[in-house]
Amino acid sequence: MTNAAVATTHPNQDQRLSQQARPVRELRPAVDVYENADELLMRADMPGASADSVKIRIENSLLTLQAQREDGAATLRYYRAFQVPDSVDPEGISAELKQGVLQVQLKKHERAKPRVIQIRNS
Amino acid sequence: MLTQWNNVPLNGLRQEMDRLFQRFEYDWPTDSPVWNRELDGPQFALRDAGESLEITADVPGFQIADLHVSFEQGSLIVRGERSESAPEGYSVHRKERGAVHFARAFTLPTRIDPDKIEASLRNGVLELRLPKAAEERPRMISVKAA
Repeated sequence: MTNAAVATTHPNQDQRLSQQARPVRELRPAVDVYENADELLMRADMPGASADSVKIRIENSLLTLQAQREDGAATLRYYRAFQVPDSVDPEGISAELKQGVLQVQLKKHERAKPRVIQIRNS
Repeated sequence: MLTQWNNVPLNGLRQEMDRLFQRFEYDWPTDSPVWNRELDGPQFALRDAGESLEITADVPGFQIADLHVSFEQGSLIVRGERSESAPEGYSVHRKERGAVHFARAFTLPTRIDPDKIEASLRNGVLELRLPKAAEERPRMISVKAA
């Protein structure tokens, strides 16, 4: 994929154009993804990001993580997008920002949780 | 008959390979400021703020106890360690944030007052303020009419 193709499909393009007064630099934070029976857990390194700038969106199972950091004359924008499985409940997403690490918990639908089926002696 | 080396068709192939690798390097994501991939440590910024020098370092996930700042023989030394923190009972899908262990020493461009160094940790950013020694501070020189 060429860089031009990325730019034209970028979801924040309009926003970007409207903020030209202050240069915005986009950064790709390192992310860990974990899973257990109940949830997916993500951790992203976003040092210096303010909690009120964090935007977490889920649309058509595309999860986007975004946060901003003011760095002198420039704005740094952390941005990552992930395809999440259908088992994730869009209503069950919570997040916290601690020590510059964004932690996102994505609860699974009840029906998607593994079930243990007991075998009875007959 | 002997042919010169630079005439062989392999040269074309080699150039093609070079191009390929150049493109590969170009596509590689190098835009993350958080970790300096070569040094495997955080990126530091040093700024001269007039009365003091200011150093910042991106240390996401570090606790205060994980960071050590000292001033020895004119050098500022910053050390830190972040251990692997995979939560218990979870399987791992993606692991980009590893354990980090770093030590950096800075030779400062001016003399400072070591007793007045301040260090703080905020939102995963280590901020150091090093007030300059009195004789190094900026001075205004008034221009007199001759």
